[in-house]
Amino acid sequence: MADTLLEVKGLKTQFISDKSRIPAVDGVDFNIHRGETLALVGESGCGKSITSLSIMRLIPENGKIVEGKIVFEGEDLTKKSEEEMYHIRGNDIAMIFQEPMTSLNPVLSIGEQLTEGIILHQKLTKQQARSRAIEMLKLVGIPRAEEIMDEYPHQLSGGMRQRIMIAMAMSSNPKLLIADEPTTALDVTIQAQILELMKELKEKFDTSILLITHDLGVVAEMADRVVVMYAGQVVEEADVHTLFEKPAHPYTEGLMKSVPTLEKEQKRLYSIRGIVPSPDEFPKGCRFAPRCDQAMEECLHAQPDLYEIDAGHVVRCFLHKTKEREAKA
Amino acid sequence: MGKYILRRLLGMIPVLFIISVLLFSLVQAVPGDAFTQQLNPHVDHKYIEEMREKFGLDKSPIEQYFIWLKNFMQGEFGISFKNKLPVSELISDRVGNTVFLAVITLIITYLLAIPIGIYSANRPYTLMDNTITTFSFIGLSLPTFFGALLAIYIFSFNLEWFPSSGTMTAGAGYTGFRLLLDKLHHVILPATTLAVLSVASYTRYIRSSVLEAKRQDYVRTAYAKGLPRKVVMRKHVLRNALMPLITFFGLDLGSLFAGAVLTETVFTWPGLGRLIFESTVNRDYPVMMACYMIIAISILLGNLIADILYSKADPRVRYD
Ligand SMILES: Nc1ncnc2c1ncn2[C@@H]1O[C@H](COP(=O)(O)OP(=O)(O)OP(=O)(O)O)[C@@H](O)[C@H]1O
Ligand code: SF4
Ligand SMILES: [Mg+2]
Repeated sequence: MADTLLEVKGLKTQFISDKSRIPAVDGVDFNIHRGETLALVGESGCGKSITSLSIMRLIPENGKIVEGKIVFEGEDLTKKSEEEMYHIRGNDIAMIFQEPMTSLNPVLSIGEQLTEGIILHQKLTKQQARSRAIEMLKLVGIPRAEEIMDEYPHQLSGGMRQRIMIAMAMSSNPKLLIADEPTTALDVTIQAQILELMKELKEKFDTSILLITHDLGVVAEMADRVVVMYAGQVVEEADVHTLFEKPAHPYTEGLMKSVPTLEKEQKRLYSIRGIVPSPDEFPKGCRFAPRCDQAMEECLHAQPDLYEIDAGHVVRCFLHKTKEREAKA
Repeated sequence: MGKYILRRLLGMIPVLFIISVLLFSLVQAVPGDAFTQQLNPHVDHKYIEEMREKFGLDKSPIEQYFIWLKNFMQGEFGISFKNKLPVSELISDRVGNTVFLAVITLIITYLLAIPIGIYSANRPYTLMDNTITTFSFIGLSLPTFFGALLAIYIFSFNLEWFPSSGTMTAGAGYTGFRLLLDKLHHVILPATTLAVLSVASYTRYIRSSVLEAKRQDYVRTAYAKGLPRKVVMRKHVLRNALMPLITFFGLDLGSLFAGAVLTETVFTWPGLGRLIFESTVNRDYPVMMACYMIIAISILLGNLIADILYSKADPRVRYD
């Protein structure tokens, strides 16, 4: 068994208001091993970002982790005080976001924004932090690194800003990098460059990556293992080859079929019918049942558990309940 | 930058010209003139005609305007009809008082509004925030003169904490630090009365601006770096949220000289505001024109200063 860096167990994160509780993340389990890239995929609104923000303990003010554990290097992050999190965020766990255009502060220079984290975590002087920042900029492929230090975000392109976000995230040599749709907002060619850069850095620093995306192309390119989320829950988990070759959950199959390919001649691009239910109106039985072509009677009344159908391959679907029994027998 | 400032300054000339024409027309549009009121049986009719001639009121309005303009551009503001003193002398007597009152008002405003606004934004929709909101709306809807009278009634007549009029204790002959204290003692009440109104609107503005800034992606980035809450607030939230105040500050600078007509009148504060009031009542148009032009110029300059400061604070704004 590979060395586990992060273990998310039964995580439930809810948005609580006077009138309602929105279960945005509703019992999520997964592990990330050292040096591995785990992809978290699923349609918009299924709870990917809230899961990752829960790990950082940065969920919006009206949200709350109500259940579960987030064990990082043996310690439960849900039990940490805000002050203890200051030493973990940006130091052990770093994060980059989808919108490079708005993720940098428009009124502070690039140098200022890079060095503030370095000074905080590495206890360096301003001068040393500056050299470290320039070194990081060069590492992420920014030309004219010294000059860029004194420039402001609006003077740079989206791709450059995302490189800067990556430099910022990697500057304290984190053990885990959470990347929430890091390339979604970028042009295709820039996307490829950024993914390439993340791969390089991951090798160089031996960082684990939690990569959030809804782009299966990115998954195939980057991931070692994949967790598929649907309506606040994990519906399938497998290594990347298994998932692409033998997707087991009807939802995953649907996702696979909706990717355009050149090999098969497709008359019309497939799409899963219906829409993602919002967290305040999840169906009573299997949450995918209203959209599932293979739904059975029991799917409407009971929620399926996660069944392990092969070593490391788990599926939340009644169709595979029997297979688990066979596997166990 | 130098070029930009020069361009802006030159651009003010036509604006001021148009303003002066409008003001002059308004002053002229009021029927009668400064001497109409002095028409009483005991005053010799001939004398009034003489005075009109002496002050140029017998000429056509257009002629009068150009005479005024020529003098004004030479820094010659004319003689007051009312007390026959040079306008520049009248103004320079008053301007110090008005600026003193305005500066103290500004200081009180910022000292109260910024912390209250930030406090509210950090606890939105709590009991305290809602209380502040309620008081803000009361403050906003309270007419200035009513607030001024109320303040005098409570703090001067009943509690006797502050004097109700004047800028210093007459005949006390204070000097130095003692004089400053005496002046502050006199200015507190009118300044606070004036500040209440702007504190209310500034508080509302700062609250929503801070709330807005807290939601920005770059604030989340700052937290993700591990920066402590205080640092994130100071360096990322407040810096962005309070930047628009620079524009307000420019407007406030502009109105430093405008004086507060009602407040100065109620508190018998000898400032430009009262001078404007008196000269308007007396149709003393050299004084009126000079006061209004000073206000117009200072508002335009205040705007320019705000724009310059803004471009220093926000790297996205550059003038050259
Ligand atoms: N501040 C909030 N208040 C209330 N509900 C929220 C809040 N933030 C998110 N949610 C809800 O939580 C659910 C999960 O949101 P999340 O951002 O994790 O989705 P996602 O999988 O990252 O989607 P996307 O691909 O669009 O980024 C959504 O249904 C959303 O409506
Ligand atoms: S449990 Fe039933 S409804 Fe849900 S995915 Fe499986 S077959 Fe479809
Ligand atoms: Mg998201």
